[in-house]
Amino acid sequence: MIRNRILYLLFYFSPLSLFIISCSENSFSPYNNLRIGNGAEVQDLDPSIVSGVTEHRVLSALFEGLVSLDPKTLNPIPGVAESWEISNNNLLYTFKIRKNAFWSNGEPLTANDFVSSWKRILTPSLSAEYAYLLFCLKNAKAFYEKKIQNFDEVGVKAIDDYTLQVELEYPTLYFLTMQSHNIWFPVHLPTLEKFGDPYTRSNKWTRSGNHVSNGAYRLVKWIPNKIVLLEKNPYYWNKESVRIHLLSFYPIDNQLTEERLFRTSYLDLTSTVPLKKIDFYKNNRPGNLLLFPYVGVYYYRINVTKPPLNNPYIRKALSLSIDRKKITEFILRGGEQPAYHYVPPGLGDYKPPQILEYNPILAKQLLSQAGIPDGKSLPPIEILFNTSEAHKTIAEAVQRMWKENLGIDVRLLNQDWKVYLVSMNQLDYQVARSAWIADFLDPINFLECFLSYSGNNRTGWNNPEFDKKIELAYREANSQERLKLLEEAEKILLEELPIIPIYFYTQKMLISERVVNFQPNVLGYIRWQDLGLR
Amino acid sequence: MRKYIVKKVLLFIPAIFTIITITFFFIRLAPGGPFDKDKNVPPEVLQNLERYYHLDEPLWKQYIRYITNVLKLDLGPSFRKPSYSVREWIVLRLPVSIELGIYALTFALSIGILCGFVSALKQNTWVSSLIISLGIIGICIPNFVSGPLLALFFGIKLDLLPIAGWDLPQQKILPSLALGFIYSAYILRIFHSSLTEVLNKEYIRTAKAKGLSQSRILIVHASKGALQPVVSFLGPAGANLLTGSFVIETIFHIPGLGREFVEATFNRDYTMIMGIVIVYAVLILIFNLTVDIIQGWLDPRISYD
Repeated sequence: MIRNRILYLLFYFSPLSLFIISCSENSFSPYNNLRIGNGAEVQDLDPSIVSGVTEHRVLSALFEGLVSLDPKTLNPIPGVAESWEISNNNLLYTFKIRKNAFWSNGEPLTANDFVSSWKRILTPSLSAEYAYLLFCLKNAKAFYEKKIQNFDEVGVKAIDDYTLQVELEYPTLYFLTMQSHNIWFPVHLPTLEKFGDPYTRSNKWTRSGNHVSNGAYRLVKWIPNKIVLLEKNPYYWNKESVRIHLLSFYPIDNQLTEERLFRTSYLDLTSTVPLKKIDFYKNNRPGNLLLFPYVGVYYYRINVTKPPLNNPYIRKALSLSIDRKKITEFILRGGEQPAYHYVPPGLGDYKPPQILEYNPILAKQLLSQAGIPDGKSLPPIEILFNTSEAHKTIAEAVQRMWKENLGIDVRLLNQDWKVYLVSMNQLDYQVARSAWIADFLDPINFLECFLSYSGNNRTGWNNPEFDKKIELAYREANSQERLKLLEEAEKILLEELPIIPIYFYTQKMLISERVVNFQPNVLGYIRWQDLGLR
Repeated sequence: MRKYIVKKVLLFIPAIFTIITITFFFIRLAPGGPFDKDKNVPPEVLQNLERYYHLDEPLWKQYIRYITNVLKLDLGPSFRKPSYSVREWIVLRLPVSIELGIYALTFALSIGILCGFVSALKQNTWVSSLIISLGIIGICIPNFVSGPLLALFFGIKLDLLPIAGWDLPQQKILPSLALGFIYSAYILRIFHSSLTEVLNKEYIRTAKAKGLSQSRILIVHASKGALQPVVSFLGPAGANLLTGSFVIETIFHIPGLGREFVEATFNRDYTMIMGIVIVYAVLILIFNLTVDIIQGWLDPRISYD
């Protein structure tokens, strides 16, 4: 009997005894610690492998490339290289590496570190997704495709420990600004060798305790799905200018959770702001809300291989009958700008041709020119988007505008992310929601997507003249001439409209009053070492 | 009894093998692969990626490779997390889900059974009606509603408890409540009706006639029989709770396995999906076996031979 009763007690209450938990330190402690909501979990902390925005935020604190960017002007400023020279034909770059540049383990950083890091990226067994960004180096593509075996033929050489010479395949005028992309950051190969084969993806060097970097911060711990904690790197050449001691990145993918954490003062900086909370902050806490243009464009992609949308008049009519201003003002409300062209504003001297407009009357005329007196005679058009509340709302607005202005019936179709990507790749859609965020600050990054042979084209559109202008721009060494070529290319794109630009993105974030010296820019690039805490 | 357990455990092997096989081929039927991205990876790079993860091999070869590796307890590398293996990742995140599940289960059981007792004892009074109606409300409120409500009320309005994270004891309270809530309502309803039924049985009347105290009748005689349906409910429910909840883990930002499972599916992280499915399958099988054993102990009429 007694045994039975004990068993009962155990059955009811034993798990309670488990609620004795070791207390760890509070990971949200604010002291000299910048607490950052960072969206999704980082995939890895190896700059040569990862490709996302969340990873870039962390990596730009951990690493420094040859040149860095001025957060205000986004012009290149000295990074690991204290100075550089560019040959007249823009093909040869000579970087002077600073002698006081060190790795976070105290070892000196030399030109050879760049050579070996870039060689690693171009080694096929690593399968680095962004390896193609390095294809602007001379012979890099040939080496990647194993057409040449000897890496000495690739355009990167260490003349001596502190001189790096880079030879390009063609004059890539954005080569310097592109250095802010994490793919160009150096890695410490001896460390990688300690933790496995450096030329495969499963190397364990990015774990807490193993990681070695060269930036303003170094890794303290990475607990997946909890925190990436960085501390000031004592070996950083410019450590005196680093003001905040700790950076804590929290992977919080739920926007509402992130906003609640900000409101309860557990975060100083968020990765985004939920759409529904923008008005609240605008009205009550405007000082915490940051809305700033971002080099990204939201557009509708059109499959030009299938009737009726293979007819450019109809595509034009569709574009003319979208009231973009209504979408940005009444739906998005986050300061987004209506897109009357494709390449976002803010890319240096580039002047995009502003030829799109809202003109439903002209739209109707174009439709009848195309031989369709009334939109009702057209079969329904389907808009495809990946499952999301925001995409759906915009699609509904467009659906209404096309119905009201042209009389065209529109159906909406949402698909799970991967299914949607496959539909786009196989051209199994009519109109699909899309977007492009700049990898680096140059209009070509947007325009080259629509080369007839680009994997990002996904519209079936091809125009030899457009291709020719882009290819000429690749080889043009004169910056003004080059921009002119690109502007002409965009004009062709906007006349034929395989895409309908809708709006330009804004960065939305919440920022605490504690953070000082925060400099927003169109790239969303944050130079962590400049920030301070009150 | 021992024979029964051995037999059951041996049956695990074909069951898990079947689950692995079905999952392996089914996840590949869904459109899109792990490397389909917004920004297309150039073909020459994609080729290397696929070669690295053996995705370029014919499917039967991949399958045999996978099965051989699983036998060696190697669940392969994750496609999404280049430097982690699936096994490492599961070891990292499963304990969190189990811990949360245990708290939620404890909460659900204690509240459910306590309220079940009270409502069955006070049959046909306002107390019982109140508890039963609360139970119905509890079943009706899904946890993606109760979770944010709890966070809003206790976290933001009253500022009593933190609303996210999984380090400090106080961070673990809200998610445990939110997760256990709906289960406590189920347990309450099951336990209430079975207890009411048992209390009308003749052996309870006999016990009363023999002059046993009320509490003794309830705890020793009645509840043993009345717990049976609760235990059968706990089999699948327990496995469900311990393997993590996508909703609760997302809302309260808890690094558990439930969230990972859903993310892995969206990302077509094949090896990760397989690994988690195997873990789930094993847990569910173990839970069902445990339930079988407990039931035999609760009801002497069940025999294992």
